[in-house]
Amino acid sequence: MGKNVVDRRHQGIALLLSAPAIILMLVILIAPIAVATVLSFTDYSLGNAGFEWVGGENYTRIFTHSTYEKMLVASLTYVLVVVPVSVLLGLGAALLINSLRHGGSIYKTIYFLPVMATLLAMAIAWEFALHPTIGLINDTLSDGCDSGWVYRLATGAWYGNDPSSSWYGQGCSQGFPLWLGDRDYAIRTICFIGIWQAFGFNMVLYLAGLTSVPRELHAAAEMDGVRSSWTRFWLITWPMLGPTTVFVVTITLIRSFQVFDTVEALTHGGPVKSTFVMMYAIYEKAIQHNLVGMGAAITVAFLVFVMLLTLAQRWLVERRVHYA
Amino acid sequence: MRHHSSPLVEAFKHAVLIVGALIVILPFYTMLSYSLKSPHEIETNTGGFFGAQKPMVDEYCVKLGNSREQCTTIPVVYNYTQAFKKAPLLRYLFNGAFVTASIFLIQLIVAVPAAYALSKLRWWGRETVFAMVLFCLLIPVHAIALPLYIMLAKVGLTNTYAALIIPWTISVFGIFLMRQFFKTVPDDLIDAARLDGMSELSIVWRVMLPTAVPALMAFAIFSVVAHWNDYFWPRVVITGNRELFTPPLGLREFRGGADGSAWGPMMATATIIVIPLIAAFLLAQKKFIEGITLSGMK
Amino acid sequence: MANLKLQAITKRFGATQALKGIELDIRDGEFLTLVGPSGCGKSTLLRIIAGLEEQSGGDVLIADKRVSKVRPSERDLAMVFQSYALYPHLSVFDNIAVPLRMRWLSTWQRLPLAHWLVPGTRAQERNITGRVAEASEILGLQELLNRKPAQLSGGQRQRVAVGRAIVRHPKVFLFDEPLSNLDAKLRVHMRTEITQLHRRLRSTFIYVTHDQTEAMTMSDRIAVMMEGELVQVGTPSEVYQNPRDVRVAEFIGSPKINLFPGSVTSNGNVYLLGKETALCLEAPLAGETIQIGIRPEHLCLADPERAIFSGVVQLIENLGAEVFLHLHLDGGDQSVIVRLPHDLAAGIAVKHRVHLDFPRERALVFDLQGRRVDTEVAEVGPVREAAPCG
Repeated sequence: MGKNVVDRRHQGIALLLSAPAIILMLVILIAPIAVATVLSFTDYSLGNAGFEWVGGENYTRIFTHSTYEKMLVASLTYVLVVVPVSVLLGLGAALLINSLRHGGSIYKTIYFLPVMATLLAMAIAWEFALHPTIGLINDTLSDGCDSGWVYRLATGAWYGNDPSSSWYGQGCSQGFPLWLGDRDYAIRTICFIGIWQAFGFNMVLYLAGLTSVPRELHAAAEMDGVRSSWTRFWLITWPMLGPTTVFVVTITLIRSFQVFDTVEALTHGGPVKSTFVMMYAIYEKAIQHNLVGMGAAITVAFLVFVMLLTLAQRWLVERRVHYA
Repeated sequence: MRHHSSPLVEAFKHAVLIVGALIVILPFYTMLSYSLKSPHEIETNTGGFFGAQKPMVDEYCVKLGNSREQCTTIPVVYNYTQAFKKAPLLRYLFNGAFVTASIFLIQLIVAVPAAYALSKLRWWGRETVFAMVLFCLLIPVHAIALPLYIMLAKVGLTNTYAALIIPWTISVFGIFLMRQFFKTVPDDLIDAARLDGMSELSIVWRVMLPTAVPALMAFAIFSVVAHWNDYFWPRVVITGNRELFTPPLGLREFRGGADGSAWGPMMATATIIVIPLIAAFLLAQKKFIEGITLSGMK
Repeated sequence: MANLKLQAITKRFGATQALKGIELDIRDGEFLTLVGPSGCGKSTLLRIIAGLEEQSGGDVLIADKRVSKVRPSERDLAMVFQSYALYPHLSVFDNIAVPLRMRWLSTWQRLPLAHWLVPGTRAQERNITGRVAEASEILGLQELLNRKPAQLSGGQRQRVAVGRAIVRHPKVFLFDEPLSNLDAKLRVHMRTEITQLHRRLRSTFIYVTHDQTEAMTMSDRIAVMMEGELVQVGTPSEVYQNPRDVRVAEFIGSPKINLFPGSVTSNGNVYLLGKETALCLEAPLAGETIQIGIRPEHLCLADPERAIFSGVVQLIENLGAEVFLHLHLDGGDQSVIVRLPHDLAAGIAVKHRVHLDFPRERALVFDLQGRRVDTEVAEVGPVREAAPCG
């Protein structure tokens, strides 16, 4: 019997077994997309009896209104910083740990801790660590100002730079940044926490990818005349990690688009909407301010982004043909 | 390989990794340290990691009419008892455990039979349903939170356990993962079970599930970690009713009204929330990492 | 092309001694097979020759030069791996070209796109294309050059792996169980292909296998390894006819040699299962128990009164041209395999009693330590003369 031949005896039981999943997929995943799409063309709000059709107005606002422009900027900044940095850090950490003779597993454990920890709790801990006056970070930074060699090293005075023109030198004389309260630093700080949380996950996947590279391939490369680890990386490691990279990039992308906990707990989208990311925008506009139509439009835009990205990933993966 | 790096290079690698490790640990250090220190030590940033643990007087306790001696404790005891006294933390923890466990169990009950039908039975419509699974894999539940919230509000389910659980009852990721795993189970095993007189349903639970323990572990880890730590969805559907707060919501509320004197207890709360998963991870590290890895190998 | 010398090679992995002082001379242009059961250290020895593993003691000399401090890539050897170790993301052409590109092109010339800007790249690439074409012609890979390894069959991958080895014209070829991942039919075919390749290239081939048939059919000489030691080195027929160790006798030959317990009298007469055999030891070894080995094809049917032993047939394996009889000997739990031409076995069925004899000069005698003891046939009686086989 061929693989795709239907066995009629199994029809009933198969439908029965998959019925709960099918129904739940339709109600919980597919219906809401339809609901969001419909609502995005209205000015609906919860509690109101009726609503007006507003056409594409909500969508136009996303691309013209300054608040939503800031939302797109904040979201894209976050994604474009967090994805490459956390993927490269994950890869770098995996390569370093993999090349160690001893003690690799302890770093693996430590770097993975943020993945397990409740992000909200850790965000608050970061907030304390980054507190402008009593936080550990600014405290340590200003301690460095009083210690001669740290100051000279960090300001670049050792290699003849002007201390007062460096970032660290200015921090010492005029005070270090407020981090989350500073419009220039807030988004970077949120990005930093995002990277802090995500890179351990990427590292673990890369480590698994590295162990799946056959050892004979390294021996073969050695016989073929590969001498530097640089060449070995480009000849074997990087191509062999291709599928891992595609997966890691996609999952980090999708998660970055969904950043919420840190923003809600630490900045509320501020200062001056510099951290007004998409998920927070949906939450604030649609749920707190009851502008459901607007929130639905953002939701639809968001879904389109995510789906395009995932489809791109699948296309990339399927294009690669490796050992069966 | 026989060409090892020199000790100097090895030392340099360790140095880089240690700096990384310090940055990674920093917020954990802050959290633990604050949960041990007195309000004064926190505000002045003194006392090192453990604080001096000098006896302190709980002024609120005195206001309630107790004697000063009765209200004197050391900071670590104060912080951790306050964590439970100021808010019903035990209730939050129970809610968290209940919601997380319910979600995983329902996901399992829904996903495993479907995965079996999709991998091992030949029926009309199978390809369509699998296409639907692949499509649904594209949808992050957080992204459709708003329409889900509206739908739940329309049927009057906000501020219930049901609201916390229902959106997560279907895990397409789980279906997909289990299906991929089931496909590797030989058909002969299932035919043998049928010859032994087992029903399809008992094949699912008594033959297929035990063969898929690694996939099950991966699924469990993903599900539990995601839902114990989830803040966004509870934040959306639970408004005000403390009885239903999950741990992250409780912590958030704590922070909302916290001044300097409550930072210690708040970080004690944070520590208590974070510890179960971290402890589980440290105890069963290999299983956790294998599970996470397995999911990436699809 | 070059000769290769191994001098007192030892290898330790922690407490275990994997190689115990290997001495071996491999002649220029020779096809030498390292054969032995798995875990005997043959692959380790090959990797030491390649330089992928470092020996704990001793020296490897290639063309009379010590190479212990020379990197694998500079030893001018090529290796074909058990798993083929092809680069899965590269086409067949690129896989074969890698060894040349790594040697002939600088880092700059290997950069994607930018490499055409570096002077000399074009000429070198032309040379490389020529050499790849030459190698792929020898192996019949011309049609497959644009495929990826995943799109090839096992035998084709095997050929690409060989192609990657021959493209460089190295002095010595190393093969690490290259046929063990192929199915039986393809294995037989690739065996002849590799033998023909050796005849054509006339380079030194060192071939590792656990399959004694491969060793017997392909090599000029066989080196049998057991537990980290070289037990015997010789041509296939030497090793088969004249094994110097009972382990060699057992390992080489299929079905396995029959081993019987025996004893020696003070004047050197050999007794097999308590019966006199007319065999005599050349050197004294009186009073000891010994083992006597007789290959299945050297046992033959005999008249009951002339037979040295009899037994009941337990199982018959009919291979068409010949038949294997599995017997249980009378009085004891000794099992024996007899290999007979098909016609001679006609009429024998399971449960039948058969009577066996063997030509005395075929018997192989081993002492308690498993070392071979030379024998002579003491007296040739009229009865023995009439033995139907020999």
